[in-house]
Parts: sequence; C-alpha cells; structure tokens
Amino acid sequence: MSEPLVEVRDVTFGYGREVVLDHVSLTIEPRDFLAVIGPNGGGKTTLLKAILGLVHPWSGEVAFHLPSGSDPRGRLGYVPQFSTFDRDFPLRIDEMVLMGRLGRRSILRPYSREDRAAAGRAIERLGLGGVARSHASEVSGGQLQRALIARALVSEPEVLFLDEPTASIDAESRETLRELLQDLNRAIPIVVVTHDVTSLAPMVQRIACINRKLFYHGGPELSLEVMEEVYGCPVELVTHGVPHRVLPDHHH
Amino acid sequence: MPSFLDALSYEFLRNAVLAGVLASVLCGVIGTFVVVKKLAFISDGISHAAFGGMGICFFLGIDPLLGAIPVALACAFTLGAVDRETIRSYDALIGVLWAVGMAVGVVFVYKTPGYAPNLMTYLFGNILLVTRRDLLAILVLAVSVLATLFLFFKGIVAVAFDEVFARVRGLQVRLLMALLLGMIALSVVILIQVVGIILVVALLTIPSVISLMLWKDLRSVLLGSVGIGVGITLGGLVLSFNYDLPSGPAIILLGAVLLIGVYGAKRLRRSRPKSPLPGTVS
Repeated sequence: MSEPLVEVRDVTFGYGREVVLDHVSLTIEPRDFLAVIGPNGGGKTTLLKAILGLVHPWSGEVAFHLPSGSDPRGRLGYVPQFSTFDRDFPLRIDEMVLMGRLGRRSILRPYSREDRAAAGRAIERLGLGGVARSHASEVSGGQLQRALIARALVSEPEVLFLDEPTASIDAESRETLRELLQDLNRAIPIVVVTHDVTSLAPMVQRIACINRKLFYHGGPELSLEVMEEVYGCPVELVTHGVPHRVLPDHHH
Repeated sequence: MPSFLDALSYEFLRNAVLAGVLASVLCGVIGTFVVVKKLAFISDGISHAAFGGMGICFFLGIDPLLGAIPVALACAFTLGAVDRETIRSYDALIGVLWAVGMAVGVVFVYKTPGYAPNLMTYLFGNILLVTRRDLLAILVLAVSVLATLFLFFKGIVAVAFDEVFARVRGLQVRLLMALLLGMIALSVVILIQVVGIILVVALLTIPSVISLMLWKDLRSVLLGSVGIGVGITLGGLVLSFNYDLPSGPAIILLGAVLLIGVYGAKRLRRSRPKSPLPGTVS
C-alpha cells in the first residue's frame, strides 16, 4: 500500500488530569473512507481535534504526508457539528461558503474574484444555488450541512473531516450526503466521526473504534467482541444492532 | 424657547451632535460584534474598570481620557490572554476587574483635594460637556478603530462566526480576538464621554439588537445599526433639549422604546396566520 497521508503516532491527550486519548495510533490512507466510531465521550471528536491541530497532544505526534507536503495548515477540510457555531449569526449561505477561502492569501486582503468564483462553483455543485442568498437560520438542516461541506470544499482540501455529519439531517438529506461523499471520495480521503455508522455503512472502507484507547483499526468486518469491548456492554442494548449493519455480508 | 436647530449655533451643541454621530457609527459597527459574539458583559466590565484610570487621572489633575484608554486596553488584553481553563470562572474574573476598577476610581476621586468632581458626569455622561479637544480625541479614536476593523474585517468576521473553523484555516484566532477586544475597549472609552460608564453597554448593544431583528446579512445589519444609532442619539439629544432631560438617559430610553416597538411589531407579524394568497411570500 502507498504511504499514508496522515499518521497519528502514539498520541496521548486529555483535559485536566483526565486522559481522553491513550496512546492512540492510526493512519489515513489515500482514498480512504475512515469511520471513527465509539461511545459518546470516548474521544472521537478529541482525536479529530488532535489531527486538525486544534489541541496539542501531551505525547506522540501527528505526521502529514500530503501531496502538497508535510505542512497541513489550510490543507484539511473540516465540516463541524451544527453546535460549534452560531446559526443566528447574520451571514448568508454564500458568505459562509466563501469563508472556506480564508487563509489562502493575506488576512488583510479582501476575497478575490477567484475566491468568489470558487465559492460559486461549490454552491452549484452542492445544489445550493436557490438558497445562496438565504440566511443560515432560514435553510433546512440538510441544506446547512451541504453549505458547511461547500465551505470545506472551496479550500480544495487534501483530506476531508466530518464530525457527526448525519446527526442533524433528515433521511432524504442523508441519501444526498451519501452520494456526495461517495463522489468526493473518488479524489480525496474522507474521515467521518460518527456514532451512527449505519447510514454511511456501504462506503466505509475502514473503521477506527475509539474509547480512550484505539480498540480496532481496519476493515469494516468488525466483530461483536470488539464492539462489546469498546462499548463495555452488550452491543445490541447500546447501539441498536449497528454492528450487524456495518457488515456488508454478514452470516449469522 | 429656541428650537433645537436654532440652538445648533452654539458650539457646545454642535460638539455634542458631532460626538454623538461619531459614537453612533462606532456603536453600530463594533456593537454588532459585541452582540453576535455575546461580549456585552465583557464590554460592561471594561467600561466600569476604565473608571479606575479616570479616577487616577482626576487625582493627578490630568485629562481622564488619558487614564481610561490604557486601563480599558489593559483589561481587554487581560481578558483576551487569560487561559479560560486555568481561571475556571471567566465571568467572575470580569466581575472582579469591574469592581476593582470602580473601587480604585472612587478612592482616587474621594482623595482628590479641593473641588470634588461630580460623579454623575462620569457615571451617566454628559454629551453637552464634550469640548473641542474631546471631540478631536473621539475623532482620532473612532477613525483608528474603524480603520483597524476595515483592515481585518475578513478575519474578524470569521473568528466571530466560527472560531474553530478559523483555526483550522490557519488564522491567528487569539490575535484577532485580542484585536476585537481592543477595538471594543477603545469604543467603550469614547462612549463613556457620550453616555457615561453605566449606559455604555446599552448604547453599544441596543442599535445592533434592533438591527439584527430587522436584517439578516452582515452588511445590512452593520449599516442598519449605524443608522439606528445615529437616529436614537440625535433623537435623544433633541428630547433632552426640548424637555430638559439628561442627555445620556434620554438617548438610551429612546433606543429602548424603539427596541420594544420593533420587537412587538415582529411578534405581531409572526403570530398572524399566514395568508394563503399567492404573492405574499415574506
């Protein structure tokens, strides 16, 4: 296999005295579709933050071998959960998408014609043309989700990270999201942090199970024993049978 | 009794009008960031803390503005630089800065020999006392704040909207936040001259709160709150002149009435059943 794009090497991190990530190592391969799963509070989002450089590991490191080099700044696309920003902020969808171009040139210079053209293309690609001039509080959850993806895409990222992308959207939007991610995955690796692996199951190539420690990192043929170890109790009770649906061809 | 327009031939009233307009422009712009980023309590803290600097200057017999500016900026940078996890209660820290500033100010004003200054002037402001020199200082401060904001507009909007994403994009988030707090501090100092320490936050937030109810995109909100700010400041001055009211409270009360009116109108419109007729899409 070719060299991984991102290598998380033995990362330990916590808040205060509490260890949230305990010697976690994993890789993101080119064209990967990695689902990071695990119980709430298990460190999924923290792992994402460590990779994105939002928190600094106590020990260990995150190394990048991106096509553009080893400096990940501005090269990672990030689609946050809805709760991380203020939906009432007075900003139109097109202005929000344009923010993805931040950091490409000096902060002192206004957005260029090229920036606006790129934002326009991303808006069209994600089918947001009709709501481009609407406010974030006026669009549906699915549309807002796509706007956040468009914002991440205009920066031409080399890896795309999504935090709980299916949490706040309806079933129809989930279908659209699935098709979109499949399409994007032809060009770049995608990392999805989720507790709901079901809705993305067909595309997932590899899974990382995190509950403080990394319990499993590999193909989606995940055993019940691993799931029980991660969640610490019988899986059916906690995850409503998710692991069964993770398996593409599962024989009972 | 002469009308307000006639009275504009007096220099003190012209100064007041100019100071009010400058302050409102600043309020509209900086206040919008205060409201959307929920920094009203911080702004209030900076405003009260600045009184410490003013009191010391009064004791020394120099222009209070010279004390208010460094103290306000120091508070802003302290609040920007402090590590929120170590301090545990950020709110409490703001409260402490607020109280310590006021206490220092009161002690120095009390100890000032001879003529005891009228505390009411600082607490509630008196825009009619703005001198030509104050006006020049307000102009310089306002222009520098607006120029800084214009220069860093893209980054400050990004940080105000979504700090985490701005960091992922490689922006200097802490620096931009410090800059925003610094601009708030300077604006607060200007506003103290106009409405006084206690009413600063009202003038900083009322125009933007109204504007945010009426408009959705940032440019309209900014322009709207500048317009509303200028409107209530001038309107307040006219009321103050015609009915012999203190100017700061007159401005704030007019703003509050407008805010309640706009809120009421919005609520009424929302609760009315939607018309089924075509062409009435809101």
